[in-house]
Parts: sequence; structure tokens; C-alpha cells
Amino acid sequence: MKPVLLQVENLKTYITTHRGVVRAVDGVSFEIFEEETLGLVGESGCGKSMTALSILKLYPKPQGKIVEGKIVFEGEDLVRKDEEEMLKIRGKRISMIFQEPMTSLDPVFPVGEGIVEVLMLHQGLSRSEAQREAVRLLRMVRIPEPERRVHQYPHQLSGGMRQRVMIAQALACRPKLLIADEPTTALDVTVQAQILELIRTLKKETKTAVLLITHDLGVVAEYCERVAVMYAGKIVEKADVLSLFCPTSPPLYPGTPWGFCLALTGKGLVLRLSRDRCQTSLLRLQGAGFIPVAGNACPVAAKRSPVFGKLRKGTRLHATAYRDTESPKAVSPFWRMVGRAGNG
Amino acid sequence: MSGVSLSIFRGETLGLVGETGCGKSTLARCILRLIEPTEGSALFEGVDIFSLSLRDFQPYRRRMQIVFQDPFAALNPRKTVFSILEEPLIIHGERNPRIRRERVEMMALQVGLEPKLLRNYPHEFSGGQRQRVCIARALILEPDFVVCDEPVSALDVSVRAQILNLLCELQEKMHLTYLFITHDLSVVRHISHRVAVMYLGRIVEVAPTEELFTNPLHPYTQVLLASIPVPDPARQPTRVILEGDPPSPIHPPSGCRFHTRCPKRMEVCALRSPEAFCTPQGHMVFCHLYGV
Repeated sequence: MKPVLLQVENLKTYITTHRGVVRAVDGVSFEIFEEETLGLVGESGCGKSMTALSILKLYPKPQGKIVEGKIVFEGEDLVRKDEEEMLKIRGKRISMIFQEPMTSLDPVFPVGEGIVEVLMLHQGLSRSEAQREAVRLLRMVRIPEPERRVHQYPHQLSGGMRQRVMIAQALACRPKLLIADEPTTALDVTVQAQILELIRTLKKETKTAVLLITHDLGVVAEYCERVAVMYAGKIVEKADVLSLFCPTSPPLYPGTPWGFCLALTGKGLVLRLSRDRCQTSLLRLQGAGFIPVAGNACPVAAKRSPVFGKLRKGTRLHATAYRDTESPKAVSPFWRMVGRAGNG
Repeated sequence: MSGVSLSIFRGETLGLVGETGCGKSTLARCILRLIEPTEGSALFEGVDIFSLSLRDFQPYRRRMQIVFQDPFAALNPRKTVFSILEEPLIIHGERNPRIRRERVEMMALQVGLEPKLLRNYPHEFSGGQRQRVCIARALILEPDFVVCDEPVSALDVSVRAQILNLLCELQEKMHLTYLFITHDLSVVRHISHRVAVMYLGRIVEVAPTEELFTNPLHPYTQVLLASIPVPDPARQPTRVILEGDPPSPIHPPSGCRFHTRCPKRMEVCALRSPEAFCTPQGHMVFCHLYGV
């Protein structure tokens, strides 16, 4: 087993809104080993992105606050660091790629400029050295004609190309950890395959650990080694990817976001969901976590009580639900009970 | 878009898939004459709607409606939901305000909106609810044919399922015909009876849904399907990854438009556009690999 790179312990990030305190991240613990890819999955609004932002302390301020917990990165607790110290970590030792490459690149600067800035700031390179290095990095992320592209503006590049620039920028200083927050959600499937393949090869070359945030189970299965599942601010499942998708053992935690992920990744599962949209976020405001959407409980749920808020080592979930659905319009009874969610 | 031919049968859902910028939305807007086509014809129940004057086309507008991708942009922020839903009725000559109110409330219920919400403005709604409003607006005139232009792409995954279910239910209830545009293949697989694949302004393959997913013929469709990540870690993906981005539609490649990126290209591909080739399984494919 590789040494632990990042250890998050009982992390709680709360956001104060005019309606009350949202417990966006509510006692999350996980660890990332060196050179591994950890998938963090869950539906929108479950706190995946807030967890990632908390690691870099980029959550909205002053509304957001880490109220409890530890984030130990290479032996140092990031929670205790002040802004100045964080500046030396962001982009250098931990960097992040965001979902929408258009909004995360500055439209008034050429794309190379962002990379040059990172290199000059963190590596102390001169401008001309940094420029040369930027071209090399763009070539590394397989951008054709990097000498020309480096001077172009974000609007002149396609979505996939912009995301490559983001990756080049993020990997410029050879960080130990790369946080990729839904890096391909805004892209077409063909481009998604290109980008994920690129992240995988670069990860091997640079020996970077990756925290991959996604809601696509297919992506998890193909690109991650271990997976943590989040629901309503908590981690409800944590397992390595092979046992998680093991077709023979039934799930321990029915009603996790799996249903939602499965809904659109597998072969023809459309979920019947409760129409009450605000349920989750409201209950979360009141401090409740997972809402067992009972009523029409499934056979598995009846046999095993859900492990609420507690984690069992080596927990397993199965993915047979969509495997045995042959017809595209069929709704598997098992997943029909899966709950509502999302703040949206 | 160049040389696209399609037919949609009554009561069916035709899925139209392709990458961003391949002309899917342009096709949809052309059919509804929101963009005037340069050339060609469209027969709606045997009538060529492209040759009609705009005045003569007006009654067809009632029967052909569209649901747009972005429910945040498609609703007028200064109108209440009630007046948004009422407007089509006014335009198409429903004079009696009582009947209008009844029909709006009926429609709202059908798409799962509570009538008491009708007084609110679009910004007070969530994305899913707004999309319900858009659907209600499209369906209130009881159309026969609805174009759904990426109706779920802007929504959360969990809300997507609800909206898709709603569209399916309404199709059964109101006997609708859908042209369902999306770049999300898993959505297409749920909802359509037949699927048409588009690349750079041309249709490359049309087939019944299951047939297309189990036995894709065109190399582009094959690559597209192979790009979908499969939730099975034990499977080692045998994956062909397309290089580069689609060429510019302003200067499309000669011959078969996919030949610049095609893993199975031959000499003839750059020279001539492929003809349609039909298989007994109901496939229609435009590729030099098939036929003579």
C-alpha cells in the first residue's frame, strides 16, 4: 500500500444563508494514497464540490466556514493554514480543474498567460523561460500547434481544447494532488474519452494522485481505483472499485445516490422519483442527513437496515439492477424506491 | 447542414444525436421554420410546409411545438407563469378568459405543477420546474409534433429522470410525436424508438434504437458508442479514441465528411459522398464500407 497523501478527517463545512445554516459537508472522512485515483460520486448538491473546495479553502467566504475537522496533506493540517500559506499550496502542490472550462479561463488573456503566471509565481522562472515551458506543457496535453495556440484567447478554442489548457495549467508545477471537479460534464462523449484518457496517461507520467469528482458511474468504473459515495453532505459508501461494482453481493446501502447515477448511465433505467423537490435541502437545513425514502421499500432494504452516517469497511454495492434490465423502457423495481434529492 | 433527409412516423420518438455543432438544433429550427432553409422541402401530413407563406404556416405552428434546451433562457422573466402559458392560447384565438384559465390550470396539473404556483415568476422556480413550464407551454395547444431540443441537458442528473418520465407519460396520454435532440446517448436509448446520428451537418446513420446500439454500422456511430464509459471495472475497454476536434462546418471535408477522422477510411472516401445503404434490420447507413 502506498503512503497516504491526503487525509480528511471529520470535515465539516457549513454555509450560512439567510434561510439558515446549510451543512454542505457534514463530517466527511476519507484518504487519498499517493499516485491513486479516488472517485467521489454523488448527485448534484450532495457536497462533492464543497468537499473539494474545502481542501483548497476556496469555499465562498465569508458565508462558508470549516467548523470542524482536519485536512492533513503531506503531514500538514491545511485547516490551520492562513490565506498566505494556502497561496503557496494552491496550483503548486494541489491544483484543481473545474467543470466549465470556458468560465474558468480568463477571456481577456491568451491561454498561455495563465500557465506562464503559474510558472513564474511558483517556480520563479523568467517570462521567456515560462513561455517556453508553457508551449511544452501544451504539447504534453496534445494540443496541435502549441506555438500558435499559446497566444490564442479562450474563445478561439473548442471546449475540449480549453479543458486541455486547464489540465496543462493544473499540472504545470507537477502537483502531488490533482482535484478534477466534473472535468468532462460539459463535453461530448468523444471528447470526454479523450480528456479522461489524457488525465490517465499524464497521471502515470507525473505520478500525481487524482481526486475525480463525477456523477457518472461509467467514468468511475473505468478510471478510478477507489470510490467514495456522498449523499447529503456525508460519505455513505467507501470501497475499491472492483468490489463496489461486484455483481454478486447485494448493496448495503440502498437508496444512496447510486440510483441517480444508474438512472442515466446504465441500460435503460428511468427512475420514478418523488416530486417534492426541496425535501433534501430543507431537511439538511434542519440538520437531518439521509432521508430513507420508505413507503415502497424494496426487498433488499427490508432485509438490511441502512447504515446511516456510519461507514463499514469494504462495503459493497451491486450493479445488477441495470444488468438484468433488457428492455430500455423497463423500470427495475429495485431502484424504483430510490429517493429524491438535490437542491437545484 | 447539407442534404439531410429524415422521416418521422406518427406517435414515435426519433432521437437525433451528434456532437456539439453538428447541426442538430439547426435542423430542428428549420423544421419549425424558425430558421429559413436554403433548399429542400418538409412534408407535414403531406403538405410542404417550407413552401407555405408565413400566414398559411400559422395554423401549423399550433400543431408543431418546441421545448428548448435552457429553461432559464426560454421563459420571459417579466411574465408570470400563468401569462406565459396563456399567451399561446391568446395568439391562437381563444377569446374566453375563463376557458383559458381552465386550460392553463389543467395543463399545469398534467405537467406536475401546482396551480397555486402559476402566479409566480420564472425566477422563483427551480430548473426542473421551469422545464415543466416550458413543456406545458409547448403542449397547451395540443400539438401533434414536438421538437425537444436537448430538454434535459441543462438539468441535474436526478431531475433529468423526472423530466424524461414526464415526457414519456405525456406522449402516451396526448399521442405525441417527438423529435428528440440530444448529445447524451443514454438518454436517447431510454426514450427513442429510432435514432438518427448526425455528423457535421449530415445524417450518417438511422436505425431502430436497439439495433443501433447493439450493431452500429457507421464507423462514427461505432466510435461514439465506444466512447461511453461502461460501469463495469472488470471490462478492459477496447477503445478507439477519435483524434482532434470535428472540422469546421464552413469548410467541410470533401467526400464523406467523416473521412478526416475515420479509423476505417479508404481512398474513395475523400472523393465521393457515400450513398444510402439499407439493411433488412431497418438500418440506413451512409458509408462506403457498405453496399457496392
